[in-house]
Amino acid sequence: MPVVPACETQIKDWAELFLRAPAEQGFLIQGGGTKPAMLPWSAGNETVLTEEPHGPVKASPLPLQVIQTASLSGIIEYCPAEFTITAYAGTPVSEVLAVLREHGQYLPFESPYHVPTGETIDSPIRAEVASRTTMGGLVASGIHGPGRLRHGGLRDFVLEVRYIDGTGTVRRGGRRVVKNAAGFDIPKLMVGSCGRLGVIVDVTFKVFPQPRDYLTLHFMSEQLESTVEIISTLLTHPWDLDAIEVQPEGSVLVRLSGHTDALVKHGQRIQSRLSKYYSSFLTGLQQHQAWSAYADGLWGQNDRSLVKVPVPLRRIFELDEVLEELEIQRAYGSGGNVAWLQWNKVMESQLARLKRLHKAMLQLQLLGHVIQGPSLHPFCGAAPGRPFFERLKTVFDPHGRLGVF
Amino acid sequence: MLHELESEKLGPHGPAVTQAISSCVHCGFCLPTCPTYQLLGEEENSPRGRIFLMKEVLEGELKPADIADSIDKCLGCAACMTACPSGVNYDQLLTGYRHLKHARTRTWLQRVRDFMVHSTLPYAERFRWAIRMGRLFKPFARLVPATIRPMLELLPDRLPAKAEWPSLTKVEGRRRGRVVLLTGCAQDVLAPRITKAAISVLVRNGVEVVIPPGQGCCGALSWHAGRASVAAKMASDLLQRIPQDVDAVLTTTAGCGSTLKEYSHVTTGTPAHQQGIWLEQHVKDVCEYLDELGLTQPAGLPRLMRVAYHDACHLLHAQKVGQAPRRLLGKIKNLQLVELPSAGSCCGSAGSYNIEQPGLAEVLGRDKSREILRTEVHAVATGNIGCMVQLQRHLRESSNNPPPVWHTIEVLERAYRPRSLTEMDSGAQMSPTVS
Amino acid sequence: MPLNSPTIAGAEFLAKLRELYPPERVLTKRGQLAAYESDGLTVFQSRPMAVVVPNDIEEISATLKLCQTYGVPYVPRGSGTSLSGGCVPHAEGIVIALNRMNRILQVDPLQCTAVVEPGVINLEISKAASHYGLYYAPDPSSQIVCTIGGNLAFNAGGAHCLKYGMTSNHVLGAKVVLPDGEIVMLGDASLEHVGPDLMGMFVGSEGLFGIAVEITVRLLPKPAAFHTVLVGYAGMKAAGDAVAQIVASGLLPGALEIMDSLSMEAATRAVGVEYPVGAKAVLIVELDGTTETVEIEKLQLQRLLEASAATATLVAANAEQRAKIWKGRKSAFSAVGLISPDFLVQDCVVPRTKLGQVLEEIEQLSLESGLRVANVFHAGDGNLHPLILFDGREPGALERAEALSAKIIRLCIQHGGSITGEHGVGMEKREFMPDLFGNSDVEFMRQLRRALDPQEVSNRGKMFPDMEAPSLRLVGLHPLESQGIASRM
Repeated sequence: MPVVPACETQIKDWAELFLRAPAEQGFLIQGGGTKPAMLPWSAGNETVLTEEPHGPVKASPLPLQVIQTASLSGIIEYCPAEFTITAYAGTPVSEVLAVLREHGQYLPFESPYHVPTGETIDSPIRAEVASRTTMGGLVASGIHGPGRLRHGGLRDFVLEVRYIDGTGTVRRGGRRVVKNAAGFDIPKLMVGSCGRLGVIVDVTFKVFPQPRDYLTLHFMSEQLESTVEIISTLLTHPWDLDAIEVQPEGSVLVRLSGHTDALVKHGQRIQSRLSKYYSSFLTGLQQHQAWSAYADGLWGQNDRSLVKVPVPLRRIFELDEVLEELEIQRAYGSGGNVAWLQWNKVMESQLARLKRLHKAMLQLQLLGHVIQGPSLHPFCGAAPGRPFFERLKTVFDPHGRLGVF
Repeated sequence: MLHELESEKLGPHGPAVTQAISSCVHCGFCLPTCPTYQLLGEEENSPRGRIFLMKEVLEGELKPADIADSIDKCLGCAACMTACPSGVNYDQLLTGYRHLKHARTRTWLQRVRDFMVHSTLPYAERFRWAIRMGRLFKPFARLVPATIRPMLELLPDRLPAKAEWPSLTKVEGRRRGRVVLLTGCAQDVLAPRITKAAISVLVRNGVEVVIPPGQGCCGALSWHAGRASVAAKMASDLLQRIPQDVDAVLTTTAGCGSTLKEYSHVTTGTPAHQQGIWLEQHVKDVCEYLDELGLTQPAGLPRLMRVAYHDACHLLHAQKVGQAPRRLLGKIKNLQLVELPSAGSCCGSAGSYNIEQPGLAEVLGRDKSREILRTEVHAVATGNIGCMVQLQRHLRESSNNPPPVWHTIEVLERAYRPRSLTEMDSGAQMSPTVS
Repeated sequence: MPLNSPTIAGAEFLAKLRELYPPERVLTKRGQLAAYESDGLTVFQSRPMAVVVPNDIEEISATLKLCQTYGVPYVPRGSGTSLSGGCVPHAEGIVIALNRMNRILQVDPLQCTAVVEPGVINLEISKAASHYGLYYAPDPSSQIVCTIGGNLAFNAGGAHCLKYGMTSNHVLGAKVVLPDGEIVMLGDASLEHVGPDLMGMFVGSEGLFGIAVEITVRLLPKPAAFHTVLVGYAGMKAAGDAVAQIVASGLLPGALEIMDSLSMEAATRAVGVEYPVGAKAVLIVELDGTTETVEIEKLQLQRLLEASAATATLVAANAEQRAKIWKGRKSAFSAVGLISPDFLVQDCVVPRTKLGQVLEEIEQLSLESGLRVANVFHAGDGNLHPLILFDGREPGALERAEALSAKIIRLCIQHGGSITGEHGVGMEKREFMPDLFGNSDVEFMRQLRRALDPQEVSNRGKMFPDMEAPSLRLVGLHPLESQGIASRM
């Protein structure tokens, strides 16, 4: 699979653009445009999150120059035997997944929009999002699916990133080998960087053989205490679970993967260990429907705010209490390591809710990523690592053209 | 490790010293096993650090005085040798280094103390006399310089009566073996009951015991302190007294055993060299011998008893005898063997270490005895008189009702006694003051 | 050489240090300092001006501030097991020995995490977590001695990286002291993060970004079942082919390791492990997972091995036999000390499919140079560890070994690999950074470093080429010196 000359020309042109533009020229990088809140960093005149530690959002003196990476599309290199795949940033994730599937491989951290138990997507909104979402966007947003629990997140599988920095230099971080300890781990820094460090032009991932089959256990739970107990029991046993996700209404989806013959026996063992909670087996279409519905709940919605908040399992109770008070709906993913917050605009203005959330998050010392909603800034809450980031940022983007963090 | 040493210029210790240094690859696997490193967390107090420092001194980069402190702090427990994947013979390196360089680093008080130790401990009669004299001074311990004080503090309150040993103890029934039993020098003064127990257990198992009269010190203490010529002299004297018409030469003292197993080295260049080689090939720890021979008589206790086994460093690390005593104890009915979490780590006795480095020895002894108390055992078994004295002292300090500390062979002997139960319940019986 | 003869500014700095620490925790005597001269790679030796042994994060922070004020370089040090010279001191700098900060602050069985200080030994975490059925997955061969702080700084690997990833995958958060003494929190106890992955960027930065102090690591449940097999082959190529077949089959073993006959010989002598008679290479395959899965996969593996050119197959029947196989593998490095007076450990990566070819080329290079090369490596992720054997007393032998080592590294780069898989760049690989990344990207990384540490006091002399090197003291002239890359100052 060849390097696409048109893409390489495009990359050179963008680099040139950065070089020639005045220092105060701001740039906005857009992939599939599936996470609206990530985009505008100084497009409006309303400053949302003025409280410390973020400070006011700086407005750009010149209109933002938008870079649409979707035009950089194509798989550059795929070596099934090496467990690596390299694609241009604008390559649709769906395309990559399809190619991997042909060789029985997958992205172990999973795309958030795709469900590994099957290929069909019934929800028109999620189908549309899934078709547009790009490889570069995955890295820049740092968002992955429930598969994070078992083998690691997107950060653990990104091997190399080629990018244009804020001065217009094309750089590469990492290398295309599955193990590498040389130099700084720039590919990891790019994960979740929301376009603030550079224009990602291609990415290389480590991939794994996809499990042959899946089985899902659906646990009923009404209290958060019992939900946490279920999760903790699941986490501390050697059950090699693929995913543990808590649905907004409190029930727990637990996915097992492996050989069909082993799955049922394995599932029964888990059931008997957690027999005080009612659970049922989901297989085949039923299973796919359950996971599709869960993904739809997060990614198949319009007109609402969506915020991702990493939270250790032990701190779920304090967060949940705050969210209850703010009347924010939540699901807990990755084995109780992340909260997905949602609210729509029925009750009050979405922005007002976000401001209240931001304040609460500051108190809890938690940081959230505003994926969809009215924010002018992709983050809310406390960012204790900021001093470290700010100093690195001065090197990636010395003129501050790529927006604040 | 690369070095600039010329083996020939280092005398008889040269080959062993250079071999040890060049086989060290500086990997650090020894670090976590070293008691002084565990306590201090400093590289110069780790085996790897000491090897490097000794190399520097031998190469002339450092002066002996620069590293005297870290060499003094080394217990010589050889736990690092068990951990070493490169087979560095640290023990020989240390002995060689002490011989070549270390003796020149002593302060005058240290010299006095070393003289006192080396001129009494190895000589039973002098040692007995010294203890009696020392006891007179014990009430005035606080007035004595810190360098000397620990010697007084370790002195027992009472001494058992002097033992007389039969030169030959025959067996009834079939003879399964014939051995020489060494009685040890300091041990013979402090706890002759160990030799008594050993004779009893050996004879019960069909082994004829020869005890050559007039045995002196085997030279272990001098050897480890780098006093090679004194050690060689002692070795020669001892070898003259040992008949060779036996299956094995047994010792009940781990510290002696490890040196006896190096006798070819100790006697190098002396007329006793051939005898030294013979002895090296025939010497065994009493437990090692009995384990190989197998017990014929079933041993048992009338009531369940929990016994912790403490590895004497010179048995486990220097002689690699760890399983034999455990297997023997495991054969005793009603005995539950308890493994200590820090098994294999030194108690701080380490020859005369508790006299030379009282501070560290104190911490090690205290930690070990507290660990023993936490396991709530009825007794402790070990294979070396030094460990017994050290543990006993610290157990007594940490508890009002400390479990007794026995030599492994004593536990066996008691398991053969019909009236063992009453004695075992009485901790006081087990102090070294009783023979 | 300015060894141990501090300048006036140096003397003032030392006086300030003594205000920070009690006397027993500032080491300045010759005998004390000499012990810190080198780490696991003894060809580099340099004596520091002082060693401090901090007890807490405030002492570290104050020390780093002092270093910045006086421009004094520092190197943090754990157990000193780096194989790339990563913690060789700077002659005008200090060593910050983290060995007393060895407390396990928390093991949380609810969320499967542990919080530890940097001086905690890798294996101690698993021991502390064992009670809950949990363990810390990264297992570098030196795990019985290496510290978590060093593991984090160099992104340590081990035998189980293909499936479980490196240290980076298992470090969730840390309280770190930046080079200017500022204390910041990166990541937390959650598996997820938002915003740029700062923790991920810090891991593997070789001490250049500061010192991680309270480290939160992920714990995993100990696998329910293992299936460990030792397979003999007539040659390295056959073993390499078997690896390719296993990987292509869709199996994801916990570990895939290869040892050649020299390393087998060393391991046998060191720890008494016995290998199939006549085998020129052995492959260790370990499957782990749930009992049901392992039962199925072991049959799959058996079929694959039968189809391979295996000369003998030995299945570990119990935990003891499994431990023995691993003991042989993990002691192989150090054990080579038994079969050669001196050796260099190399660490480089090649794409897995090129393993066979690269091994043959290494053999050719070995023949040409007249030096024996032992091989023991993580085949699953193409991470080679050629051990170049030589006798340092032979004039020119070290130079030939170094030259061969450089050839092997360049060979790996040519094949699209990396100059290090898990030992890091340290002192040893600095000169190869531009070969791998190009001058511009190396310079960029150096700017990142300067953004945090303009005076470059944090672990000065590591990772970047053409840097002022810690002074070297070697037997003979070091090739880095003859090439003008390093100097003895």
